[in-house]
Amino acid sequence: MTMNESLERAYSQFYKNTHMMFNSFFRLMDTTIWPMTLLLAFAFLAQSLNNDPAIITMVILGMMGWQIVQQTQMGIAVGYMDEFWSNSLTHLFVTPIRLGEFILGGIMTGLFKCAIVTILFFITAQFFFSASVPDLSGFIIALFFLFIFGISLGMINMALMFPLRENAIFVVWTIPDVLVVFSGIYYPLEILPQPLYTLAQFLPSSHAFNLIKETTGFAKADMTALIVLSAVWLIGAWLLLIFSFRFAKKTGKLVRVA
Amino acid sequence: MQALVVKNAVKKFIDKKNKVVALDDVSLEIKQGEIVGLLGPNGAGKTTLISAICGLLELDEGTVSVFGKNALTQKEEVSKDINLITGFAGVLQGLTVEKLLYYYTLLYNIPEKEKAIQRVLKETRLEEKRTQQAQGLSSGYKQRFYIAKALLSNPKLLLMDEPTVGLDVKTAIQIRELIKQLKKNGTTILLTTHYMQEAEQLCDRIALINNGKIVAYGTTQELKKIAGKPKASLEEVFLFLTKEELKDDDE
Repeated sequence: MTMNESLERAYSQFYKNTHMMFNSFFRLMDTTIWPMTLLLAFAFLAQSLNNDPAIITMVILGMMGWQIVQQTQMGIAVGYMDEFWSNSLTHLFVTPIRLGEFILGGIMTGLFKCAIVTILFFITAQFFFSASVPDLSGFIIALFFLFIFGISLGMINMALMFPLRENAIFVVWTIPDVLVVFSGIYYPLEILPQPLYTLAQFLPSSHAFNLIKETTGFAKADMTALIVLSAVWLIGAWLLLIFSFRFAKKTGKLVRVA
Repeated sequence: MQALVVKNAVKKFIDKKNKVVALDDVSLEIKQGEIVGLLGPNGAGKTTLISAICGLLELDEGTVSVFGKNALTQKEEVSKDINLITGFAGVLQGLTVEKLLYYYTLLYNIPEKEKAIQRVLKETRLEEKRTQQAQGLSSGYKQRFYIAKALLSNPKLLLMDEPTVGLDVKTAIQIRELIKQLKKNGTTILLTTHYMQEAEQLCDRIALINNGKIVAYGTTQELKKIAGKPKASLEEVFLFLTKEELKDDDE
């Protein structure tokens, strides 16, 4: 195996995912119109409740951060789901592609989608709300860790989908929605009830959003917790994915033999 | 040289708390350049065996080696040597025939991609469908697409899971001709089919599988000898040998 071969196989997933995205108006909406609609709805709501530019900026930056998580995890999961729904997983896994290459291709897709969303968000935020990022370097660092968290979630999603197949789909799509509550995107974590607050401390996303809020003066970030938790989630998700892949291979669920 | 060696393969699945033996101590060897037919009733273990050969399924016991490489531990290397044609898997939706073939050239690290695509489109007479959405192809053309996809990588061992099932007579004949051509080019083929005439026409040797066991393996003449029916048709031999096994199970 050479590095070039490995990268080419990873690129195959990027090729597939992006072609499928640009070939379908509805898929393209997932990366363009829907995030913009959400951004406008939440930002206008924040504006109507409290016309404080700092709060509006916090909401916009929070939405942007959460889009990074969502687009990254979807970039990884959608590549698998497409093959699953097309019943073409056999054709995929009979090729020399390895699990890590498949994930890398998903990460490339996620990065590409994140770039589209971020550019559109910046333009929209500037145009409608004249919002700008107070501390760009802090914001970029936070986005980087949210990207890493998105990769972890994408791998956890896939780990669930290998053995559970179609039964996992509904669980997979609801995980990010549940995590929104614990991540404190639009509010300080301190308002959460004590058990939920404790739980939130174990999520890298809640610390990353604290870093975003720190840029607008609404919170203080714990960088050590952010770095450690991001690494733990990433390694844990990868190990879970490997275990799940092997389990699916053993039980015949990878390509539904059993 | 042996293209494929399956040694004492055992695979059990749990189905509603019952253990189902899908492969029961299966051993099979295929020489390079041979076409071997794998015949058996539904649920006999054909797809399980093919999945294990492709490295898609981990055996409980036994080993599979393809051109001397372990199918499970050296999957990446083995995957470069083999390919699979099966009508039981679908085509990826949302891409045209040429884009989907390009996708597979990336997955197989094929160097001259456009040349390879041109070649397989010509070999499978799919040129006119090049820009069509792959999922919209008729079943006959879809089967040709699977063959085109498989031929992209010039596999040394080709696994064909019921390649002519559900096809019209003309397309089935064309595919059989293609299989003969592949044999001439030195490709080793393991073929599953329910059509006895097809197996007799194409295969050098035939393995009969039933209840996860290889019940007989040899040329058509050898199978007839094993059954003690030298003048019987392959269909009769197949029914006789698999029925014998069912009788054994009932007892």
